[in-house]
Amino acid sequence: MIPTIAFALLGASAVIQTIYLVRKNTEGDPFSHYTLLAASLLLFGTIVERSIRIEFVAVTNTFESLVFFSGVIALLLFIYRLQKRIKVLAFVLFGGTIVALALLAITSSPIAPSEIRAPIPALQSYWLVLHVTCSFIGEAFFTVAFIASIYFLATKDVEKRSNVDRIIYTTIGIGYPIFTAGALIFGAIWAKYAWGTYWSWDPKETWALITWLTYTVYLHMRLIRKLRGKISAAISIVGYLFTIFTFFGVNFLLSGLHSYG
Amino acid sequence: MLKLYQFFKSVKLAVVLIIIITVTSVLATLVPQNKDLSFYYHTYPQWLTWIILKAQINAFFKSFVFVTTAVLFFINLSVCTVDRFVREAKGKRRKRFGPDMIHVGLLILIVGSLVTFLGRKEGFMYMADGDEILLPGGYAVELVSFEFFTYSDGRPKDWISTVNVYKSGEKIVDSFPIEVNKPLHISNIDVFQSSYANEPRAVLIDAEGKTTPLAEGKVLKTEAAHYLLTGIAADPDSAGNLAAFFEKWEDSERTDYVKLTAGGEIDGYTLKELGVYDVTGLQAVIDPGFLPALIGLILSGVGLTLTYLQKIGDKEI
Repeated sequence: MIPTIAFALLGASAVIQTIYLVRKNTEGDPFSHYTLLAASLLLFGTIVERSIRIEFVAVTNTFESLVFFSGVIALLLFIYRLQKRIKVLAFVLFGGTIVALALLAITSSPIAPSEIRAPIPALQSYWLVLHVTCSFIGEAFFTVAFIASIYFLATKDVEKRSNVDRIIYTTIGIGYPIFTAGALIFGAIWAKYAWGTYWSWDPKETWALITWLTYTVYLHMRLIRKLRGKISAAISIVGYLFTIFTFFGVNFLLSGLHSYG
Repeated sequence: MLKLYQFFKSVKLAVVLIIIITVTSVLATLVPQNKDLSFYYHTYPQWLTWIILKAQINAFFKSFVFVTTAVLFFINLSVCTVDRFVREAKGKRRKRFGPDMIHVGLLILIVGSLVTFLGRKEGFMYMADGDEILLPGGYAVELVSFEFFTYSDGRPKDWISTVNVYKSGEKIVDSFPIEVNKPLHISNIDVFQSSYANEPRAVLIDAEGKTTPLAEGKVLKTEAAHYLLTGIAADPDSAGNLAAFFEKWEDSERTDYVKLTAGGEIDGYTLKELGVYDVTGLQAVIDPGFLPALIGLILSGVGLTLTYLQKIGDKEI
């Protein structure tokens, strides 16, 4: 029920933003970000409620991961909207809202059963909690970078490109260390405690590494002047597609140790 | 020499090598790794199997292509790291310790991974209550009890293998509960809760009343001979009953076959019962590469945080 209300709030936010975008109001609307905040709080509330019921931090299945991921994206968009130093364009906020909405919509599908179930032994680890939460927080930043990258490639306005390029760089700059800590460092420590090996070339691990390497390429391309701009924006998009594939594609197309979530 | 140094300190080379590792890793995840050759012949057309095997995509992360690329990347990263240090020391470059720490951390991580690849040892064992196994270093692990808890819907909640550890006959660890995510550390050995199973066992009891639960493939050593338990199966002479089948070995020669049913006796041991028992699956691991890999990971994490803070200070982020 609560995720449904959050979904409605995200939908309302998207509608308000669409109206202002159609009116070509580049400043954005004055209140849709508050609905984003409300949606985010409800989604985190869902995680807290489920955590109390299973007596563990509820980020141990696909449904909970999606709720958490959507909540972080919505909160991040709210925070960015309040930023004075980095002006995030209305289109980027709108795109981010749509991604959060789409992720939350998946929680209604059979691939993410909402049944509240306590975790199996392998998932009863606080390293796992750090692994999952930090990975999704990092990926939420990548979501903003992804939308900004699409805008970068779509617009020809030099000033807007410069502004968007900064958004891409800053969001990846912040998301990358958090993602590294979550996906690779905490993930490796958890794997060592759970399976006795910190790296086993499991498809999910390999795809997390592929995603990390792609954003590593992005950050190094920034050091090569002629590769900045379109190419690095394209790399950011590829990085996000890999992020999404790591989350969904690996679970459903490739088998491995991470087949539970 | 200078040209080689210039070549390896190039950021462009780093980008190219990372792209090669990324793209080839993508291909590798599309092909199941380390399966029997028959799997590839049955799954793919012959021409594709030929390509997969020739290109070593079936064991890609040990293949020539991957190892060569990884080695080149290691050299590239080493040269870049040294070059950065030298330029920072000479004052030709602004001191940025964050990226330096990331690079050094990654180098240590790669070294740790190599040490793991070359030096990691592991062993699996199934144990029933009372079983004892010997580990390297003169340690003996005795299973005191194995408990399996489930949720009300039948899913596993916890497996707990409580063990004692002995060295030179002296108990050094008393009743340690090994659980998933909570391994036992003894010296450089970690013992993990890995799995569980139901295993047929022949429980023998000696004259002093000490029981020995014997699994298939295990040997009962008596003063007169060794008895290898080859199987527990239906007794052909008594429908509906089970029997234990042994090979008798004396002086490295098989001298007899022995069938034993409940109450039967061999060399002072009586077969108390035959049945299927819950056994715990424990995994013992020695991984000398984990510590350096962990240090590398932590150093990289600290470096990333430092880089982030430096960039905030510079108002780049």
